Amino acid sequence: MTRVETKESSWSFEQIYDEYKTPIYNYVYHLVGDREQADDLTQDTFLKAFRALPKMDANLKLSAWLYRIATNTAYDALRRRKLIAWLPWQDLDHEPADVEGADPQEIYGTTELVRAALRRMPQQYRAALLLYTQEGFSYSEIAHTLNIAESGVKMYLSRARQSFREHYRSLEQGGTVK
Amino acid sequence: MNCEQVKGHLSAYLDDALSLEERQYVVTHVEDCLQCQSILADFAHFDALLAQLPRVSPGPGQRERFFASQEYQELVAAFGGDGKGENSLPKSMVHLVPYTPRRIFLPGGRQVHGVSTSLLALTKWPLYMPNLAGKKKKSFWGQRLSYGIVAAGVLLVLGAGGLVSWRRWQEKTSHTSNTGSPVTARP
Repeated sequence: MTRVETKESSWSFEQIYDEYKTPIYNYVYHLVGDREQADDLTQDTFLKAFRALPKMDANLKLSAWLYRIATNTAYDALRRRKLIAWLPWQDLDHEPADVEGADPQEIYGTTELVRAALRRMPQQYRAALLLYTQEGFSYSEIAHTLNIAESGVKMYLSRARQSFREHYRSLEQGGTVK
Repeated sequence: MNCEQVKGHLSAYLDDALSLEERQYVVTHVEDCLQCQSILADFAHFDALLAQLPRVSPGPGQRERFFASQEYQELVAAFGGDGKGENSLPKSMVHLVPYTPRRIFLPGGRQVHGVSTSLLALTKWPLYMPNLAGKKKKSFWGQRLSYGIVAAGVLLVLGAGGLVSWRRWQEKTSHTSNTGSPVTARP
């Protein structure tokens, strides 16, 4: 059993894994768009994290540090994959979000559009947008995670939103959703 | 601030990340600009859609696979070691907290993720600490001494070789001079 003390508290490997496996998996999945690959990359993320724990900057928040490793692991995988013609998304087994008063059919279609627009965005903007909207990270946490200046986060998010908007509108107006 | 400049600030405006002055410019402009109003509304709408995006979870067997994986076992083994105690903890690892097992460990122990708990119990420090702590880097003078010994050895071999060669050369030349001189008949 190994325990690690961060700024927040003391953790064991298993506690870290149990606490973060789902959010990291969700984040990685939305970055790479493939469930099987997200599985492997999540495992890789934790292995890398545990190996590097002794080198971890004690001033860094554990979550930001884990997400940084996850981001870099996903970037590496995307770089290796090269074919930006993304693999088909395999999330049809997931229920759409439970949105009160909304038509599930419509929500499901919207979800597909959102995912299709996401996977057309440049990866660094996609990461910033996901961290902000899905993970609820602050500008400072995004800066730590993506290893950029806090002032850069403002620019990243601005470009990310513009890029997402363009792709979403284009898909809505007849672009195909792969 | 013109329309293009305001467009560049709409995202930060939505996040309340503008200075008071910038914010005032944006508010004044957006009131009269339909295009910026539309972009701002889109940004807010898409943020909501992204936040509502269904979250996905790993498969049920992923945890077991992870802790039973060869990589994790190797990691645990690599971080295992023999435990050298508190004094061997490097200063760079002071943020790592010592772990004292609170369970009762039976002789022989049982297997927890492939590692015997009796071994875990013997390890006072976190599994990976002793091994890393035990990896002492050679000191500067230690390194210099080892380099000196190697250099002396090389010089010794070269010197001995040179000496042998020189003697053999001498023997050869003296032999040649002996055989080259006229043979005198014995009386």
